[in-house]
Amino acid sequence: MRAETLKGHLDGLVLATLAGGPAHGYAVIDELKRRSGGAFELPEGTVYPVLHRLEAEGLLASEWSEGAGRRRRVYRLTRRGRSSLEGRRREWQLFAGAVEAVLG
Amino acid sequence: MSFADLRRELSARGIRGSLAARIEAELADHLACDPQANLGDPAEIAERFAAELRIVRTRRATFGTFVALAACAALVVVAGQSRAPGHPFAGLAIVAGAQIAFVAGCLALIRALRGRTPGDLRLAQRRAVVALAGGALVAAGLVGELRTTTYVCAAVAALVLAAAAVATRRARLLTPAADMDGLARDFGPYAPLILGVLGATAVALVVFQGVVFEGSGWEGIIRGAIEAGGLAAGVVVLGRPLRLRA
Repeated sequence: MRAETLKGHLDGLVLATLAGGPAHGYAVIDELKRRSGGAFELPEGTVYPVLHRLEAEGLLASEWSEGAGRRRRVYRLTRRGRSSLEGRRREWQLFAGAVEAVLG
Repeated sequence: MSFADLRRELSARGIRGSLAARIEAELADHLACDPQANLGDPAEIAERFAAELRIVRTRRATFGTFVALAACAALVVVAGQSRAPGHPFAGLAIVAGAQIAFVAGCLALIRALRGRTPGDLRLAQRRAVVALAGGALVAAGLVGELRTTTYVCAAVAALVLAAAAVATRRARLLTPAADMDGLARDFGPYAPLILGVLGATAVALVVFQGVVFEGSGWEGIIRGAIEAGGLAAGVVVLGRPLRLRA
């Protein structure tokens, strides 16, 4: 699936990926790929700027951790991020239900 | 991908220091996890980061400008408690600066909230700078009052305004120059009418204040005329930079 198609949904998808627990950038991308069955294979450089923006908006927090002999930035959902994710889920269910009802 | 190229491209887009180092470290970690990963062209990566961050930073800087101006207004009130005769232009600087700050600050906020293009963000940043300059005029006016309290208040106001200016500058570094749309983008096709009504309301309020608080119709009319002249001068001088007129 092309990155353009996902543009409006990428924030929600990244937040949902982190709902399971903290993860670093590579793990987020990998999890997106795994959960979508390979459909969301985004250009690898796309997700990091989104992570930075979500953090700047206060939906994510991050800190350095040591792993595999190197420093890595680990992201986690904030309380605001969790409530934003809930809102996005409700919105998506409404939208998907409406589209389903029209398309049949 | 060369990290030296990435650093140069990030720097060219205003991303420097610890943020640039963090981006490099994250991408290096990514490549360590998957050496075959294709992160893309450094210029493209840098532009993506700048594009994602410029909106957030501009909005935050504009909110910060508003908070700084509110703090400035509170300090004027505090300084007013110990008012003493000062320079004759002090009062004028405070009144004019406060109005410039209020109008430019509101316009900056409207554009920052509604706009997403580089042109919109640039204009929001410019309006924020003008609003901060208005705040600085107010702080300078405070210094005209020859009391320790007013000097302290002016110094605190200057620090708060400087912090907001730094945030605005950081947002500006991420935003490339672009064409800026006029007032119609903020208020729609009736923008000149709305502007006229707001200006007339301000003049009417000043006349009302002169009549009621000074008990003199002439005083109200004179003050109203000065306010109207000030507004007209403001539109002439700041109209183009703030995109109030073409």
